[in-house]
Amino acid sequence: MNIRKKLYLNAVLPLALVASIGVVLYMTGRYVSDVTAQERVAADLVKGVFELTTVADEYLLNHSERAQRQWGMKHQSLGQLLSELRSKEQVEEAILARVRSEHQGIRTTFSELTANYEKAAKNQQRQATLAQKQAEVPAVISTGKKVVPNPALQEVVAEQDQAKREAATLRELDTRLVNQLLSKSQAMVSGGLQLARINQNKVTQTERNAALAIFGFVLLTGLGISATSLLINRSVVRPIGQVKQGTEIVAKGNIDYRLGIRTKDEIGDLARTFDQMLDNLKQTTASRDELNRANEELKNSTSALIQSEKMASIGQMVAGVAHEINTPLAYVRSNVEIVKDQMDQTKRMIDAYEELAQALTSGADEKSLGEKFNRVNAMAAEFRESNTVEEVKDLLARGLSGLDQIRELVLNLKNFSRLDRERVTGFNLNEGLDNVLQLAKPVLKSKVKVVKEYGEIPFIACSPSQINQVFLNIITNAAQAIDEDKGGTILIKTARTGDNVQIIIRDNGRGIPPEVLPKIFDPFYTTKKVGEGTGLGLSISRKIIEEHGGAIQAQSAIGKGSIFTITLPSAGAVVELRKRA
Amino acid sequence: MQSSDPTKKKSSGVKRLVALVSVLVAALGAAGFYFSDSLANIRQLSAEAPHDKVSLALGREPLAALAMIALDQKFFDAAGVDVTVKKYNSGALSLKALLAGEAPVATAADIPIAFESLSRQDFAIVATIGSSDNEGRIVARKDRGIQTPADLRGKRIATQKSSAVHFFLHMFLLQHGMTAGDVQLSFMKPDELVKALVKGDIDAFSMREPFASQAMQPLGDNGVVFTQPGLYRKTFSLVVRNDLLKQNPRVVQRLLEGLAQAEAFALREPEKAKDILARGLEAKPAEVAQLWKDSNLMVSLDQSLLVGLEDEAKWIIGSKLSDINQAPSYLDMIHVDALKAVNPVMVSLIH
Repeated sequence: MNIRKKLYLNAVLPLALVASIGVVLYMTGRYVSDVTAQERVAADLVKGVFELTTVADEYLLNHSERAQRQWGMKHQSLGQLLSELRSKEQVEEAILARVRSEHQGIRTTFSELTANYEKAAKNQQRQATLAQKQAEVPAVISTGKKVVPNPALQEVVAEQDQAKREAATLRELDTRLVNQLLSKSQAMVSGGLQLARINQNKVTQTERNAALAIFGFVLLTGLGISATSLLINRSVVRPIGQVKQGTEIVAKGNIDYRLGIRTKDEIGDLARTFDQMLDNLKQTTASRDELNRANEELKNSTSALIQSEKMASIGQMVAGVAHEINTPLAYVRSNVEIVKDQMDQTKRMIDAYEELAQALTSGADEKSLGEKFNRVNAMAAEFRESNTVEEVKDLLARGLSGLDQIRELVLNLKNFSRLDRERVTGFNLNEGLDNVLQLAKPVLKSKVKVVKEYGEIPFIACSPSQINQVFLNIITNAAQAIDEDKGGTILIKTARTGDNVQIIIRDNGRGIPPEVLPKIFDPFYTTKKVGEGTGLGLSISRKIIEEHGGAIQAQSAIGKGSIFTITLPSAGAVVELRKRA
Repeated sequence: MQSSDPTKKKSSGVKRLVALVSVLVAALGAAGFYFSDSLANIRQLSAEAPHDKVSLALGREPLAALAMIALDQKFFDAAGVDVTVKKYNSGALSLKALLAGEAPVATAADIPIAFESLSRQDFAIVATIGSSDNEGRIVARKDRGIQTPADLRGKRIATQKSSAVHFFLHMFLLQHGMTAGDVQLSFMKPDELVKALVKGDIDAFSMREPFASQAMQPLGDNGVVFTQPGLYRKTFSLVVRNDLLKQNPRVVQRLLEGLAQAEAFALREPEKAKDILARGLEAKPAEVAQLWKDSNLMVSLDQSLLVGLEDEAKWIIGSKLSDINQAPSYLDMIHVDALKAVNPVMVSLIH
């Protein structure tokens, strides 16, 4: 049963029970009314029998014709009442049958009684007539000489005796009939009283039963309402509590929890859906964890790749840098070697001077002094002629210049990787670009002409090494896009646009095909030969720029070249952004 | 996988349910106590104590139908009393058997009771179990010149002495202007009456069924039956010796309980009841049908019993049928308590 039905039942059940009580009360009322009506009829019956007995008694006392008539009338009305009385109860119907039977019997007895009375009255009259006759008839008559008892008188006397005997019989019958009448009257009264008592008991019993029924129904109503409430509590409120408890447990992170409610109602549906949702969530979480792991692995791989890319870049850069160092170093070395060679000549001359000086101080002969002097002069002339001093000075000057180049290169290198990934609040992008260009010299070679259009731009907050890495990547790509035989130009332009700084690096190289252009920022996408590129350069560049809150865009046309536009927020804008965050 | 564990909540719910049920049971108990009177009314005597044993002197008369039904349907047994029956041809004989000590309980009509009560008062009426005002039959031989009731004058008429049919004969003769002195009255036992009439030793007898039919069968057209409905209202009662009433009043209640069940059965199953009566009387069903119609079979005690007994006692004394000329107090000879305990509604006798 669903909750709606349960709530409906909860609303309807008490109503139904109260309606039942109403019906019971109505039925009881009707029954009590019926029984009371029967009781009244029984009382009427008893009253009627009493009246009949009263009239009979009156008749028995004075034998009046009026009393006889009234008895007949009452008997008839009682008969009418008895014929109308009906009962569904067998006992009552049996009592009624007995009363009807007595009612018929009493009529016979009363008729016999009245007939007997008439006979007695006639007998009395006859006896009076005979007495008068006896008085009138002479006791004796004379038959000539003799006086004899009058036979007529004897006849009268015999008749009188007969009449007296008949009177005795009539009196005896009268006595018996009167008692029969009384007995039957009493039997009728008893019947009426029994009916009345039965009906009284019925009324009492019905009232008790009604009270019991009402009490029972009230109890039932209470029980029904309580049971329904308990049912609803068990099947609605408690499961809701379980659902609440379950959601709290799940909210704390225990997604292994299940409600486990199996009722066939809305809460059961909700619980099943909830459990199903948890199953799905658990699967999703498992997938998420897997993804996280994969992502972590990917991150590690990416880091490795980035590192590798960085190492590759650095390798490339180092190759260039080595070349840059090597060139001045070679001629510094050559110059130094020349100077060293020059130093042998100088040493020989110094040695000749020392021999001359020792000969002078030791007093050697002139010849040897002359020889020695000539040799020194010859060597000095040769030294002057060979212009060694100027040459050495020049060599040393050029050596110094070479060393300066190396120093500058090292400085650039240092600037390029300055503080590595550390962020600085004020970085001059123009300087950064210059550094990169220095480092990119080996790539740029002589075929590429670099045109710089640096604008007045604010410092930006960034990680210089990362930003330099981006510039190096793009400039290197631009240089590589320029065919060696054709040569080309790389235009580097910086400008302020509102709170941002814009860096445009444009080349007029081969350009990027339109189908390739949308993919250039995808990781591992490369058009270079295997081993030449990782396909991560531009992807990493975009990542770096985006991490700095900037954007990088590429436009290209085949045969016309490419434009990379980098937008970075200025230092102030970054501060603002941070404040807002 | 975890799941919700509502054990705690469940136990508290069960506690609440138990509390609720306890309250309801207490309320029902209170109601039961309040309505215990109603419950008491439906108690069964049989369930309260071990069975009693008693002998019953049964007068085989139509108005003893309820006793016959109670015996046949084992209602006495159901009421908790084992009844040993001793059968007699009339209530008068069964009452004599009671007085002779053959049985402590008997069924008898009002006239024998009135007769015997003049000399002995060691018994009591505990209930009327039937009444009829059309039971008496005068059966006469036509060959003795008897065509109408008036023809009975001077004829040899026999009846059972001190019985209801004796009183009926008296009433019948009175009704037709005669007294006992106007006929040659003699007394016989019920079974002797039929033989005597058939044989011609007597001209007529006053008796009831089934003897009237038993006589009419051999007489055929030579026989004539006179009845007088409403002339005499006969009652038939359950009579108990006082010593039994004193020693074990419960057995009387149980007997009345059995008779009350028989009364209900007679109302419920009249055809079966008639069959039982026919078997008890050894009469034909057709004869019993008329008897049944004329009989009121009901266990009761009413004022008419007193009126009848007193009048009958007057008749007995007035007719010098007994040597004793003083009637006892019949009110003292009627025991109302037993029927009052079983079915108070049916006691309308003023006591």
